[in-house]
Amino acid sequence: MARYVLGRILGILGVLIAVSIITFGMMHLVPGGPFDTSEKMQRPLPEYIRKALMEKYNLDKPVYVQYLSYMGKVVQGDFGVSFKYGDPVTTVIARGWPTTAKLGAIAIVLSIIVGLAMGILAALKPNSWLDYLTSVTVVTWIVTPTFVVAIVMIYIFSIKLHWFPTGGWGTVKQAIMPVIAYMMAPSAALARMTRSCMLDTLRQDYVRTARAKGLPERWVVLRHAFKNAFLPILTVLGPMIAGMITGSFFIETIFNIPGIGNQGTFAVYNRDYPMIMAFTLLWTTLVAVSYLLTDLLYAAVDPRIRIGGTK
Amino acid sequence: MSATTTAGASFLMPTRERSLWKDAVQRFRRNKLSVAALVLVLFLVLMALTASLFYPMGYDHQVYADAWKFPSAQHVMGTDPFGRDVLCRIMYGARVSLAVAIVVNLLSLLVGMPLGAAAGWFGGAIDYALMRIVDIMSTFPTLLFAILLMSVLGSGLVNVFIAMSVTGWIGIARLVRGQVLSLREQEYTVAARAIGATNRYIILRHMVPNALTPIIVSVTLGIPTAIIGEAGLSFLGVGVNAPMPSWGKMLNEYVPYMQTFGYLSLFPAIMIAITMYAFTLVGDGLRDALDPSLRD
Repeated sequence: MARYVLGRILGILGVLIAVSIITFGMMHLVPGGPFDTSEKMQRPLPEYIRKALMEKYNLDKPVYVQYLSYMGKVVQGDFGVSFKYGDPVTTVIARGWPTTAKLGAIAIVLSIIVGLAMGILAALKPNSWLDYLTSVTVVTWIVTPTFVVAIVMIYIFSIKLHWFPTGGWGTVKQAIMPVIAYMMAPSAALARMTRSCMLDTLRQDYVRTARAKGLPERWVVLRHAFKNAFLPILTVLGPMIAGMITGSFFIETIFNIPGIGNQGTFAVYNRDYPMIMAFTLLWTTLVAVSYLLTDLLYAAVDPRIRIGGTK
Repeated sequence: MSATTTAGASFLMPTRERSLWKDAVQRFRRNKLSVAALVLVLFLVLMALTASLFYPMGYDHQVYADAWKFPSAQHVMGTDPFGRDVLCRIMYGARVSLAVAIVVNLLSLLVGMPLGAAAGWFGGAIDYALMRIVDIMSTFPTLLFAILLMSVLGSGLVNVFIAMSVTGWIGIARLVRGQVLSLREQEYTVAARAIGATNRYIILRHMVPNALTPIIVSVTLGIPTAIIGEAGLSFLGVGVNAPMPSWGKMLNEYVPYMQTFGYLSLFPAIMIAITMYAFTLVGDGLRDALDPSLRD
């Protein structure tokens, strides 16, 4: 067990190193730099200042030297200073993340409730109108891109009906549309998964036995069928949560929410190297750790799964 | 050598394949939603093909006097801030979406299939390398990666093809690898080997036909993924270049006028949604038709 976890953690470190090298390399291949003075970037700067800046941020050294010195600092918890904001990267992230995480958390909780409810109801009456309606809804929610949903909602509910403000963050009214746009795809994915897992467990002998014993239907569905169906659902939930608390670029940009979900992309536009790196590393770590935790949790909940044995 | 293989391949085709495809067509036709979606897909293709017939002036033809016109008989979807007909741009935009869908999936197949098959068949170093790439790319923030790559390459349609194929082939490779791994353990493969069949014969006679259906399904479902990817990149302004009318690019151009000319953004938004829906339903129908055992 400990050996397995250690192996996985080493694997995650390997992935992190690879991701950081790829990102760092790509970043430096991008034409233009943060202190580019060319006409197109429209950032006039006297040459001696530019030189001093390049020196200060080590941008005049070869890429591998820059990479090693950067990673050396990262290991000590120093992610550098954002070129764009002038604050330490950690400060910039700490400023925006609470908002992003709050939006993500609300959307996750609602997705779980809506998704599981839809999936269970559809599975209880397969091929009924309710099941059919659910599957149509699920496909619609999954295939419609977030930015399309967001734009259409703003058009209908903000511009035509004036029910909600077009964007911003802080009031309940401002949160409603982004939360709905954000939770559609995950709740649909959960509903689809829940339905098929529930159909599977409802066919099992132990469910028939439970019914034969005369247990109330609600008890059979929730305690016997759902409890077993929840295991596979757990595997998609972990990475989903990790993805959602890092935020959505489209939602935050379209609804003008001051989070960090769109900072990674803006960082690419601004050639803000420290921000790009920090964001990529943070994201990758969260996703990789969520995969590991999911696997461990799965093993803890299901005694049939043994971790560290034959793979 | 080549003579026996051809004979092997041709005696395989008529007996098994035909009945498989006939069955599949029949099952697909019974799925009304998927048939409707297929009609919609054909309509989209027709739209893309006939764009230049309806609008021979091209997609960047501007009439400044006609800018900001509301939908009318002359301009069914109105005109945009530059005096360009919106329906014209929507129709030419279908070309971009379909081109991305076709090229990205073809490139992904061309790279992913041989690499995945080699990894599954030979194992060893190539398999190890492939799986590490899968590990890395599955944790990499996809959108950020695509944007970074587009920044390196520069915007433009060809670079969209490249940027999306760089990540696209991995899914196919992974799928083919899994197929090969499971198929080589199947009893009929083992039996064929036991009676002394050559590798080439086993691959052509047993592996390819059996691996084909999941690959077809995966490619069909890869189409909407590619379309939304391009739309997203163009919406962000790092996709296709300015006068070219991609639906995502149109959204990018029209969203700033949300307050005053909100309906402009609706046209490309709804087209993206419809296209995604149509291709996904066709893919779902195809999956159910080709392999009923995969159903739920």
